[in-house]
Amino acid sequence: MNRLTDTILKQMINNIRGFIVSTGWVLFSLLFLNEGHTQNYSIAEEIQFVNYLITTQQNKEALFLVNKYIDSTKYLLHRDTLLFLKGKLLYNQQQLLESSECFQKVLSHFSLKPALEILSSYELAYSNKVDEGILLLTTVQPSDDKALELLNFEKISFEILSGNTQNYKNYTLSRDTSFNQLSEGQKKLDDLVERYNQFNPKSPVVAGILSAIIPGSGKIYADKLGEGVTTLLGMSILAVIAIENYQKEGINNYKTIGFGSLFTVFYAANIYGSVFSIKVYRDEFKQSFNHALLFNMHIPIRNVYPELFR
Amino acid sequence: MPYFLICTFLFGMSILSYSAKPIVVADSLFTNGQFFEAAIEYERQFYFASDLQTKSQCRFGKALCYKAMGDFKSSKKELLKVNIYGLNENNKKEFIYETALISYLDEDYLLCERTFLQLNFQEYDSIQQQNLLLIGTLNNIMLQKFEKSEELAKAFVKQHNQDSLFLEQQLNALHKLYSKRNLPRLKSEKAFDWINIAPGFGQIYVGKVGEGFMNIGLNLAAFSFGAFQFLNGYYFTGYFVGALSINKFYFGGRTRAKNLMLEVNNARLVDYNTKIKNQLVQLKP
Repeated sequence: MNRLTDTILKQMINNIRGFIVSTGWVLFSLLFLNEGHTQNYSIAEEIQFVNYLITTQQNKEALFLVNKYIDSTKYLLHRDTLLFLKGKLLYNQQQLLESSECFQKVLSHFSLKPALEILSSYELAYSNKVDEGILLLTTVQPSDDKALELLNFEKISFEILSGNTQNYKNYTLSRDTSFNQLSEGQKKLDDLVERYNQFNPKSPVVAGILSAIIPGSGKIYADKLGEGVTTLLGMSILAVIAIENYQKEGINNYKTIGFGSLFTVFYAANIYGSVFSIKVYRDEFKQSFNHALLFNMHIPIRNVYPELFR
Repeated sequence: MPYFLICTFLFGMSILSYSAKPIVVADSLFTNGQFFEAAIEYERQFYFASDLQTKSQCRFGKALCYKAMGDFKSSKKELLKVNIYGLNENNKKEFIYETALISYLDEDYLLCERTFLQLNFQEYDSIQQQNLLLIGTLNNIMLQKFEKSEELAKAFVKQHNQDSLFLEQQLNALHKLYSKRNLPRLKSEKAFDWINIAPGFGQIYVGKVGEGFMNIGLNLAAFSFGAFQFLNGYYFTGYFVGALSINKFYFGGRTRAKNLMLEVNNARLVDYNTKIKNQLVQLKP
């Protein structure tokens, strides 16, 4: 009887042990499979994938992943790389201020830090924050001669951008053209400054007087040939109609009064328009000059640090 | 011991099946309704995969994610990138089915029609067949192919009904809807181009009578003023005021009438499409 009970007990214990081991094995399997879901790729591969998304312009997806990784502790050691990628992504999307903010958050031990600060200052300049850009440039610590040269070049460009051509001359004395990537940019910079110095701002008074004598001529003086000719034609038509009606019906006829008044209003507006077109002319020059200058500032950054844009 | 062996066997099998299906993570995200995350995961698998089969499957999966998000344009874009040779027979079948559906949803009716030419109707299960018949019916309406549309609509009804009396009723209702009297009255582009030569008549032809008469009035006023001035020796006034105004009113009115005609035709097709859709959808279980 006792032996029978012992056998049954032993069998029960064996079954329970088998059950526990199997359950443990199943739990381990599930754990393993679950790990497989999330740890298929190394961090390097994850980052490589984000870079692929950025280069194929899948911006929404890339931004989602970058934001997710930046917040994760798993990627703490790679935070700078992720901030760099996020900045690059925002740069591609023309969100320059946000991009600049990301680049500035990158810590100083990051190998591309000086390059990122220079690019960041450029982004500030492009967003009409020239003073902030200059301030940022003063904090840049160039890691080598290449960075130093680029930094000087950007400083010169910033001086011109803020209208200090005198300071620009001071810089030109100390600059070195040993790097091919910069020599072309420096030549263009000289051309731009020459263009800036030769710019004739033109007088709004002259434009107004010219338009009073011959309607539209003030606009032609302000380099708006098309607008000037159109104004001249329109005014001539109104004048001819008013004169025609005046000659046939006299001054008191409703058509003479109507077309005459219309001509007078357009005549006065044309003078005001010509004066205003000088302001437009100056603004357009400034805009086109700044655009050319900013473009010229950007090319050397691309040439010296192509890795920023790959 | 038997438990242990069974579990080891099951574990081995699951590991094998797991490694054979690299897109399992993306699939599970898709099943959970996390479509955006699933789309990223499919793209990741696409990027790291080296075999054509996985790559094609990933593209297809991504297209389905966009479809689920309601972004049919992106979905169609992804579908067009799928290399069909990388899909197995079952996936190929699904791919054609989804292309037809998504291109219809993206209002690319010609692509939908072309896709229909590729599909083998008998390969699909009964629910998919019903869906295909419905898409085909509606797509042909948008392409103004009403006979083909009626044919498909009748096939749809026949597939749904076993009861002969109800089937007869449904077929009659459809026949009525597709009768010449009930078809959308679309404006003929050829006739419109001729009618639109006369100012304001284009608007009247498409049903905007008030606007048409206003345009006629403006053109007449400009013309009369110009002619009157000219005849009375006011050549400059007549030419510049009359001719320039007519130029604006006449050509502006013609362009407006053309846009109105396209709008009206489209609205009528959509209306008719909705009518047929409502008639057919009520049969769906």
